[in-house]
Amino acid sequence: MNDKPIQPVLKETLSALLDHEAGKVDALELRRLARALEQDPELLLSYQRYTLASAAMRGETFSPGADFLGRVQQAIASDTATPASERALQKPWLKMAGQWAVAVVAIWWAQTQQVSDPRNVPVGADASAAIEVEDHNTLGSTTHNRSINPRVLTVSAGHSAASKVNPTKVNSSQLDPSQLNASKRGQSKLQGGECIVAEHLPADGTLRRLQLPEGYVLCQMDQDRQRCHSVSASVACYVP
Amino acid sequence: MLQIVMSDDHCETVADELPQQQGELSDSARADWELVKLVQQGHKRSFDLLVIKYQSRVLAIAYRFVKDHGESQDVAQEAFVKAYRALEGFRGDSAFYTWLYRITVNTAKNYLQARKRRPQSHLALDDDEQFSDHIEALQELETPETRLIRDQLKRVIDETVDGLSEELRSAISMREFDGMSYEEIAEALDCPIGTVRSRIFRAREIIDEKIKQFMQ
Repeated sequence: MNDKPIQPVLKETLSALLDHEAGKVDALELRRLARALEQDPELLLSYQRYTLASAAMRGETFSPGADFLGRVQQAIASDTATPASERALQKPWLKMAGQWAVAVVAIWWAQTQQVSDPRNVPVGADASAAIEVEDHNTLGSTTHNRSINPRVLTVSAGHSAASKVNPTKVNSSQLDPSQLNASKRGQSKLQGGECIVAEHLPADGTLRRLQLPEGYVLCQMDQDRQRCHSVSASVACYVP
Repeated sequence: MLQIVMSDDHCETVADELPQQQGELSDSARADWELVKLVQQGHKRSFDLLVIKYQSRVLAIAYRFVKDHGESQDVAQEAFVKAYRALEGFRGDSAFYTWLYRITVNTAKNYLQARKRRPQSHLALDDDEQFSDHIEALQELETPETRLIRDQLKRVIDETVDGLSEELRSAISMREFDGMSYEEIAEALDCPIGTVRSRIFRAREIIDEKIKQFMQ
């Protein structure tokens, strides 16, 4: 997160933009805003809230959801406009799946909170162990590692791509970047929801829906379950 | 004539169906064009502003075809990605939204075709259709939960607006409730346009603080 205060002048430009006054805004001012948008995600959030407020004041119905922009950004970053079922088969990480045994875990980001869903019983993982998260930003331009201390709950064990798909197991997924970003900003936006998870089997590339408990996100774990990889866009989580 | 440059073979070329070139772009279309130019110059994040602006409409269009909440989100997402990829070839011969609308319609049709399904809606490709019926579709998409949140948020905003100073309340009300342009507001309030812009922004900032609290 960028901790620097957002320059009010930029937000004022955003406000004018919302009111369709950008055509009358100085070109330099717009370019300055455009540059700032590349560096400061808070500006986009402000614009989203301005839009939301504007729609609410006019009595208009809400937009698709807070994560929609993240999905679009993620898809653009992955340069995929093909249907999700086809996308699932084109992902580089699917090729890597043969090298990794993939486990799908749900991560409880807020350690202090209690598990409310009795279906999710902690299995195997050390709840206090830090997990390295390989974190790609939503446009894929930077990558860095960071440590988090999540409580790890195993939802299902993984297996290699060479084996048959077991319908009781989910064998690939990754973090929803919009949720990841939200957590990075220290906001409590992590929510459960319905996720579409691309199956590994190249022959059919079927999708399945997975109900994600409140407060959990999905990630793709490597074999020793010490690293969580958020690498591409085949999981879409819908906040109910 | 509008050209849709698509790398996706599934996307139809709809140039022949396009309406005549609009003589004068609206303020909204001009603002979009400024953003498009920024994206074309390499400021990729500027596209996000267009996504935020049009996501509801695009979702509504998609929903009218596929009649499924989840699928319409997929189609809407795909439409934006296609638009982004084709944006380099967009020359502003028509409004960005007109262009985006066609892409969305074609994406939805292709989506259904790929699944051997027939469209649930037969949209007429005219300008009125672009701007009117999305409201109805969005209402269909609403769940009791989102409706409740919307009502609560509306209440929070209304209370905040009521508590604003007279000058801020007048400016934001004229803009949001009456749909007046900055120029019209400046004339009505007898003050410079820059002052109107500043007052509307300050009002939004106060409202925004309340929204942030509400969302938390």
